[in-house]
Amino acid sequence: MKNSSDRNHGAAMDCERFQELVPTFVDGEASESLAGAVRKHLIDCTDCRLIVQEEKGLRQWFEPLAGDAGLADVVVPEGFAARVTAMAVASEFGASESLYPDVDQPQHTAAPSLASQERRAPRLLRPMDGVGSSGTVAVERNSLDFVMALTAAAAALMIIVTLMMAQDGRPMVGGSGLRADDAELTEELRKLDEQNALELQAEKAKAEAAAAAESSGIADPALDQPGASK
Amino acid sequence: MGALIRMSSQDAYQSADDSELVSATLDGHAEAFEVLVERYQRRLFGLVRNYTRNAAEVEDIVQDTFLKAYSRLETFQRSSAFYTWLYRIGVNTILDVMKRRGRNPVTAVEDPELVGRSGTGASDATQERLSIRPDARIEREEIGAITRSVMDELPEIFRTVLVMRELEQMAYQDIADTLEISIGTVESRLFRARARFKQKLLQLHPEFAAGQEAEARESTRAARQKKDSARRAKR
Repeated sequence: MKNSSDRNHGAAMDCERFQELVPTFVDGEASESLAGAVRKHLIDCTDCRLIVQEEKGLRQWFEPLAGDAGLADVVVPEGFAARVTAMAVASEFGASESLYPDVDQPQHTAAPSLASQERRAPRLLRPMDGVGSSGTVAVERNSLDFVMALTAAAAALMIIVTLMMAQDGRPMVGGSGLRADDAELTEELRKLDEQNALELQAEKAKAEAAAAAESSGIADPALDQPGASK
Repeated sequence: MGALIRMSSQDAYQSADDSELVSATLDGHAEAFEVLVERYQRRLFGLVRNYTRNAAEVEDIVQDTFLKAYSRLETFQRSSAFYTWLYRIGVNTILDVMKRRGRNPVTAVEDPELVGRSGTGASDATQERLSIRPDARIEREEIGAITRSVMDELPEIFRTVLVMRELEQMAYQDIADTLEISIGTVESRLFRARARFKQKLLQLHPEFAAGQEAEARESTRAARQKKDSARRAKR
């Protein structure tokens, strides 16, 4: 696909218009018709030829770094591919290996659908087949399968043991198990309330008797005389 | 024995094309993915190196790119090249990391979409006319080192289009697809990036400014224009 600079180049090209198109032309991104018009203009215009030369001169700065030439001194750590592959396979088990968890959502690629994730999951538990089953990654993968299976079995065993303990380890009171029965407690509380009521009644009667005796004492004036009691 | 079998499986995958390796990976053969990593790790290390010189950080970013690619492998559309797809993930990972770490932030003034292609100012216009072709006597390695040092000074937005176009030699359309921008924006951004590259190059290495040559050309051009206008006036 060619770019937007292809518009309006039907008329004879002037230098100002040409200069706008120079980068696109030098990059080889101009359409055939536009490139033809540019070449035609270059035949007649010395100044514009210089501009093209300058534009090409700039690109020479990048030549030592372009393409494979720029990769000559790239050093890839030993075992990088095997390590990354092992991490990628391991990360499928749920623990994300991403170093940048908050940038995991792709900007330009669609996120894998739930269905695709579900399709991928069973594959991990499939035994490796064909030529792939004996590589280092396959060994790591099978080891991981084994560890995962062992963990699952241990978890199931723990659940069973916990249930059994819950059943057998219940505290016993007398011949029967401990129950959350509060009937007896209610009965005891009722008795206590009755007793309290009786005691309250007795105290009240006693107080009334004392008050009656006191009032009868006040009514007899002889008792208030000094020495009357003697 | 295991090593021997491993070697044979690796050999079988080495001759497979990218699409076959993707299919084999999706079928559960992790070795196929390992071959894909081996095939493109060097290019990705080279790409990321344009953004950071820290070897550990380069490795982390490349590793994260491959991990993301593996987890999204089922979304890979066979209509495009695997490396283009992988490259897109790599560029996004790099830009996200750089953005998060606040490196070389691009201010509104520097944003080519906001400034516009023609609004470069007088100084930029002058820079654009300067011939800054590398001196023929300089070794290629030295030119490369100078270019890297200049690129390091550029904001990511400009560096990215220059890396894609000049180093990765990508077509405008591929750059547009990768960055999800229009071709017009690619042109505009490249124009600005090159202008900024020239400006920074001359700041850091003023010895490369062919000032006298440029001035001479300018005076020739001005004289010619004056002559043309005088001729038109006579008519």
